[in-house]
Amino acid sequence: MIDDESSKRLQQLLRLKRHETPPPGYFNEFSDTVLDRIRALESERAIPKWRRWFSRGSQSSHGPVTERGLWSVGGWNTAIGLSMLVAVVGGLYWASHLTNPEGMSGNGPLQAASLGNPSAVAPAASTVGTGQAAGTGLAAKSMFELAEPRSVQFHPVTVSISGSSPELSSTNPLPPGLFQLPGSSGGGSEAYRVRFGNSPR
Amino acid sequence: MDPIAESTPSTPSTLLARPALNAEEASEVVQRVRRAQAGDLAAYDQLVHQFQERIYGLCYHMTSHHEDAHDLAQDTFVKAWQALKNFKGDSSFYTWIYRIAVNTCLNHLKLRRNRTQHLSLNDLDLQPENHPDLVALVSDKTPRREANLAELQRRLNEAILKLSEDHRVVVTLHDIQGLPHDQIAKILGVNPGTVRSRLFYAHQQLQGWLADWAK
Repeated sequence: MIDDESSKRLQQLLRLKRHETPPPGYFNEFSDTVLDRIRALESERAIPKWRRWFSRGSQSSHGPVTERGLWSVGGWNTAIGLSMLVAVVGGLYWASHLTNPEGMSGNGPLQAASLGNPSAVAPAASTVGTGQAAGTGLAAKSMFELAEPRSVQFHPVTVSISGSSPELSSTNPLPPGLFQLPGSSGGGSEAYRVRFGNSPR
Repeated sequence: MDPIAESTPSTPSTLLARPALNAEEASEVVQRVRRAQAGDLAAYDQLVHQFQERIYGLCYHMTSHHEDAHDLAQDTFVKAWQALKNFKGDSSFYTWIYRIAVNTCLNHLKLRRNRTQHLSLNDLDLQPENHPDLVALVSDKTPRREANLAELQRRLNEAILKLSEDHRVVVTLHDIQGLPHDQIAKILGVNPGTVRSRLFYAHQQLQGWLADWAK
């Protein structure tokens, strides 16, 4: 327990702290500094938010935002970053159209499909190696969808060798519009023959 | 009328401890606050002049560091300006700005808790020869007559910094700045009994750390 005398002495000691003073003249400029900070905050508040944001990174938290600061390093970094982002997005967008060279002439696959002209979309379909896609509107899909793995069905091929002139015959049904041999009628189920080298007919 | 003007006991007036506002000062404060609320920066400048020493004193005694006290006192006045339009006058401006200063100091101390605490005593000017308290301390009752004032100041600051923040703030406001218990209670938002309790335990701790000087 603290006795009264000790408590009194302690309070005397603590009151000595009142005599600790800052450097001489310190308070002469104190309020000026406070008002400068307030004016800086007020002027910063008067600037639109988007301009403040744009100048961020080059200004101290207490400093005013000046016209010079608006196009400083932070502002340029932001502008360059935005330009690069726009370039990348634009590039991806155009790349999706470049999968069909005719698309560059304004007659894109989407347009062709919507006009009901299957022949116009056939070249785009051939790039993915499936003849079944022709005329089905597949070309109207984007390049990302086309890049997805697709199952391809192969039909059995029979090879027959007769006499000295080997011939290949196939029962592989031809997809309509693709790989049609001269003379064939182009039917999907018609077999065809392939001759080797100089072998007689 | 400002409650400080009514209830503060007479204390020796020093640079950093002038708690009392007389009736005229209190009336001036009210007028200045109204003008400042209307955007009059010159009126706020007068308020800053009026309270800068007290607020700096609070910040200094809470941190024992001149540069920190400078920043905290400035932050206090800037925050007060920003919040001035929300000041309804439910309490006195004195209480209100003290509350901002205390919260600013406590937040700073929380952030600084992991940093090494240091003192900047070189900047300070102790003027003991004119102070009756010190005359008593260096009288024949003092066990360490040969000790110099710098040592006393160092020990005093170290002891205060050892206190918890809650205890330090009541010691600063009551023992150093001379505010009454009820005023401290309003500033801190606690009961006057809590203030007395914290003061009691703070004094017990200080008594132990400053035994050589306080006996």
